[in-house]
Order: sequence, then C-alpha cells, then structure tokens
Amino acid sequence: MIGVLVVAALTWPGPRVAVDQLTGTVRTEEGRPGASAAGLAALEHVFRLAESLGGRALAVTIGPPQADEMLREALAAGALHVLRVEADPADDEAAARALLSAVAEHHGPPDVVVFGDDSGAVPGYLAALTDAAQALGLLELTADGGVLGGLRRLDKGRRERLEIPLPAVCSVEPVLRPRRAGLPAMLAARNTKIPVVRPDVPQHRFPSGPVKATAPRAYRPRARIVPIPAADRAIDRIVALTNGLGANALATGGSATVVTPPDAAAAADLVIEYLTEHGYLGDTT
Amino acid sequence: MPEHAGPGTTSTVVAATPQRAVDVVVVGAGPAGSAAALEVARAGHSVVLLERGPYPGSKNVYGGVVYGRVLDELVPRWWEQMPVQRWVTRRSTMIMTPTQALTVDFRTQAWAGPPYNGATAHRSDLDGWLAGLAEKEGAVLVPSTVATGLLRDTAGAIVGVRTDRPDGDLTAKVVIACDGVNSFLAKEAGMFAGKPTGHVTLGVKETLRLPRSVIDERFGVAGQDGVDIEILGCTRGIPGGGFVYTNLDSLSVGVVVDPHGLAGKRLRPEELVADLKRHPAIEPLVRGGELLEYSAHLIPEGGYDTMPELVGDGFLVAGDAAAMCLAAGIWLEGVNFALGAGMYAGRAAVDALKVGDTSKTGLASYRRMLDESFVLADHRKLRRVPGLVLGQRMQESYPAMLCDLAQGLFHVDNPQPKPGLLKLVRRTLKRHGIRTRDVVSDALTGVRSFG
Repeated sequence: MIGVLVVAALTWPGPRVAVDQLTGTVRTEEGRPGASAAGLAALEHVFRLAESLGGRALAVTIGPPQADEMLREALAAGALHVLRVEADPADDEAAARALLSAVAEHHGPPDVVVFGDDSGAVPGYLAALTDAAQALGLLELTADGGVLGGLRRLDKGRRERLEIPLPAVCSVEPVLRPRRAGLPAMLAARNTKIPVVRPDVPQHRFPSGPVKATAPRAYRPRARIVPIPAADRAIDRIVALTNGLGANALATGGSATVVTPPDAAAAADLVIEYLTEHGYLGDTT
Repeated sequence: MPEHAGPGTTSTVVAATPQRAVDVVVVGAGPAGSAAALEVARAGHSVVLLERGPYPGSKNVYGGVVYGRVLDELVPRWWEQMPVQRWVTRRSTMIMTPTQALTVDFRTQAWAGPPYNGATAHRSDLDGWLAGLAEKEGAVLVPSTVATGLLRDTAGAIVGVRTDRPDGDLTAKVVIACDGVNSFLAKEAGMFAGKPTGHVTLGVKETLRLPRSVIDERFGVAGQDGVDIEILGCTRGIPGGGFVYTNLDSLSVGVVVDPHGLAGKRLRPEELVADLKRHPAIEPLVRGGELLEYSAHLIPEGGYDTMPELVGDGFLVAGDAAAMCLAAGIWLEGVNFALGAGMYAGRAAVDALKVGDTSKTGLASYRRMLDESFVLADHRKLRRVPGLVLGQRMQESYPAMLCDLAQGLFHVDNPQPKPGLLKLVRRTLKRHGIRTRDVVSDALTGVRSFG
C-alpha cells in the first residue's frame, strides 16, 4: 500500500425511534437510504485531502446491504476503494473498533479519518483507540505540507484555527456540498460488488460506562439556622419565618416562593399571577 | 401557450454514430418507467433507468388505490411480493355539504384474497419494488440524475438524453419518457404541440399516523383489509374532490382540485384539507392522527383529448407524462395506466430493436398496443367524463341537492304526513335552482360517457 490513506466514515441512517403520541408506544422506523449532509461533506473533504496529500480515498460505512447504494455513489464520485462493515451501529465504541479493524485489515492503518458531525461518539473512540489527534465539528479541513488545518466555531461568532498532526480523526459540519459524480462513473459503479467485512472485534476495553443514576428519593433540603425575626408578637415572627425561604429572603422582605405546579401551563399561570400581583403586568383580564 | 412552453431549452444536436451507449434509456423510475425497463431488460437489451430522486418513489405522490391486475402480465403472482399496505375491500363514495354527508358504501370479501383487486401502498415501497424487479433483470438504475434535455441527430431523430451530471450525455436507440406530469422531455420533443392546456389538477395529501387497532375499529375492517373513500362536494365549489384511505397504521386524507379555481378563490390547498378533516363525517375517522407527511403533486386529469403524441423518432411517452391518469368520477386510476403504458412502451421498443428500426414507424406498435388495451380504450370511452364531473352542477348543486333529498326522505316531520318522493324531488330541485332539463341533459351525458 502506498500513500496516505484518507478515510470517509459515512453514517448509515439507521432506524429512528418514534413515540406514538396517542399510546406512548415506542417504535423504530427505517431511515431513508443515503448519506447525511454531514457525511457527504466528509466525503468531499476526504477527496480534497487525498488530492492534496497525494493519497488514497476510502469510503467506509457500518450498515446493512442497503448501504451499498451509498458506497456506489461514493465510488462514482471519486473514492478509490469502498468498504461496508457489518457491526453493531448502536454501540459507538464497538463501531469504532469495527471500523478500525476492517480498514486496517484491508487497506492498512488510516492516516486521516473524517466523519460527519452526526456520528455520535465514534470519532472520539476511534481517536482514543489509535492515539490520533482529534478535531471535531470543523467548518474547514485542509492539508498543507503534511499537516492538516482546521477551522472551528467558537462562541460569540469567533473561530479558532487548528493545526492537526497526522494521524488524525476529524468530523466536519455539513457546510460543503459534495461533488457530483459523472454519468459514466455512475454507470460503471452500478454493478460494482461492494466488499463486506464482518470484523471480529474484542469486547469493550475502556473502563468507563454510562452515567449511573441512584435510586430516586424525595427532595429533602438540609435544615438551615435562621435568625429569629425581630417582632413583638409570636404570630408576626411565624409569618416572617414562613413567608421567606432563607435568611436572604427574610432580610429583603421575604418574597421567594417555591411552587410545584403539575405542568408547564400551570407554571406559566403562576408566574403571570405573581407578576400581576406585584404590579409588573398591569390588568391582564 | 405558456403551459406547454417546456423547459426553455432546445434539443442538443449531436453527430451520432450508429453505435449507441445503450439500447434504451428510460427517464423516470415510477411505475411506467420501471415497467418499461423491466420489459426491455427481460428481452436482453441494455437499458438505463434514470431517476431524478435519490431513490424510486421519493418524488411521487398518489391518492388512492393501486389496481394491480395489469401486473398479471408482468409479474406472476405479484400479490405475493408487492409491498401492500392494505387490500381494499370497502369502497365508499361520499357526497357532502358542509354539514351533511350521503355515502354509498360497498364492501366485498372477494377482494380480500387472491387474485385481489386494489391495494393501498406507500409509493416509495411500491416504486422501489418495481425498480428492483427491473434491476434484477439487468436494468441499470441511476438515481439522483435529472434528464435535462434530448439529444438529436442531424436529421432530428432523438438519439439520447443529456443529464445534469458531468459528462452526462447518454446516447440510446430509444428514449422512453416516463418523467411524469409536466414532462419537459415530451414538450421538448414537440409531442404536446397543438394540444389543449390547463388540464392538470393539484392533489394535496396528509398522511396521519394512527394505531392499527384504531383504524380497524373506526373503519370496520380487520387484518389487512382496507377502505377507500372518494368524496365529492368537499372543495368549496372548486372543481375537484377529496379522499380518505387506510394504510396499515396511517390514514391518507386529501383533496384534488383545479389550481385555477383555487387561485380564483384565493385559497390555499391545505385549507381545503383542514376543512375536510373538520367535517362531521370525517373528523371521527381522523381524530388524533399524528401528521407524518404533507405532500402535493400535479395530476394530468384532462383525459384522452389532452394526451400528447405518443410516438416519435426514437421516442416514446408513457404514464403521467402522457396524461394517462383517469379521472372519471367513480373511476380514479393512474398507477395501473402507467404500468400498462410502460409495459407496452417497453415491448414496442423491443419490437423496434428486433427489426433494427427505431424510427416513428418502427415504434408504431406502441400506439397499436395501447389502442387495443384498456389504456387508451378506457380513456377514449370516458373522454367526456372529466368535463362532466368537474362541472359546476356536479361539483356544487348536485351534492347539496342529493344530501337535502336524503335528509327530506329520512326526516320525520309528524304530525305532517310523509311527502311523496316525486314531490320531494321537485321541491329539492327547485330549492337548489336546478332545472329538470339540466338533470336530464347531464344524465344523458353521463349515460353516453360511461357507456
């Protein structure tokens, strides 16, 4: 194998989960075939990187036989190789291991892997597995002198530029339209047999697991000591204590209130009622 | 005639050699296109099936029932593999006013088993299945590809298509245009020259999810049995009609209307669908449905007199592109005509390839096969019906009159004695300003039209 291996990891739009509004029944529905916009942007980035780096472009996906169509279009658009991997797409770590195993076995270790930014935690796991640089959610991805350059959004409209050494795992936003395959290439790709790999990947290695929830229990705030209100009558002291929730509330006249409305509409009613009562809204009737 | 003006392009003239890239190019992987490609591929010829959507059926909309009988010729025991939602065993025709509804309801279990009659289906499933059959026989399906124009040789014969892909010219001995209503290719080929315009209606449809058990209960069906309800009088007087039909776990509800009437009344089509869903006869059927999809499409409902020329040099037109949608009151069919026309177009192309003559003369068997089949026989016989059913009396006056007549018939007005039927009819006609001579005239037209 010669040259840099640049891999476009396309996400197959697997079944989506839908909840029946009437019955609450959860069901799964098959997604429509074809790569997502982010996946197509990743493919285009891979083509450009392969051209810049003088490397080979590989398109790979984890998906069922229906995903062959997507890979044929990648082939027609300019991918040198394609590969379909059969693995569990729901387990991000297993998916990353399967992708790595399949690509390494058939084409050698990848130098750059580009995902769409809708790929969940798979890029992160892959970067960890390969000890590669990781740059996710990129707007731009270019190659200059064997080093990748990336542009990423920051808060408040700012951008940051990244220098990304190889090997690298990147993901890109769907801001780049993919090139259109020529008709002769499309026709040639139609009858291409797509290679399929079922990698035998080891069990999970990373020790971490999902966030664990403890058993639910009632909310019982810790007791706090508040100063005795300065009032002559006992009832005034009780009122002063029970109208406020804490020392600050008492000190400022005590207007904080904890309410537990049953739903959002009731909560909205309470807020409006409170604001009206305190003269913020005027007469809304 | 701006509606027939075409895409604003003229065909590209190429110096075509006798050698072509493929034998046949079929444009459009709908029912007509896939049937044509299937026939050509089966005969052992090379055929490319171009589809502008990302997959067959992604751009298609229909509003009712697929009658698969014509598939007997194409796919033996098709009912065992066709992706069906429900087999229609109950067919209702409903006439309504804003507060009334009169329904003729027919059901038969004879349609619940082989060889069946009609079915509801999702177009993405149905069209994908048909295109898959063609692919299995060797047709090459190329999705996401638009045929933007025709290629002609210096003598004017059509020798291929230009697509929107790079290096997108594809030469072929025969081009079969199945590119749907408003066919740019048929227009560019001059097939609509001299034909009347303004013959399309606009169909809009909502698909609403409901649990299968709820649909079964509301529509009185079980298993895979289904219901199709065609409705007249639900479009605020705009020429057209409505429909409700059952899928497995969803309903489709919509209207088909004259777009000029819609524009004239300054209405949006979704307002009519909302009207229909609110109607007291429909609301209990659709209540609680979760909106899954809203779709709209033009329908070539003008009938026989608006059909284009069907055969040119190296060129055939089939399906909606050839206005082969039958809107004849009680019969509302399109997919079966598309399947039939596509099948015959494919056979005609094979015949022409066999004798090495793909000129208009060599492809003439297409027209002959259509003439001898239901495709043109039905359209020819029912050519006057679209004008009749889309007329003002049929759209507004008769639905209201019939609903009032039924109400008068069943209304018990004691201590008044029951009115005689003739008296009731005369009174209802007078109330609605309908002259007896108009009724007789329309009845005669109906008898003549329906044969």
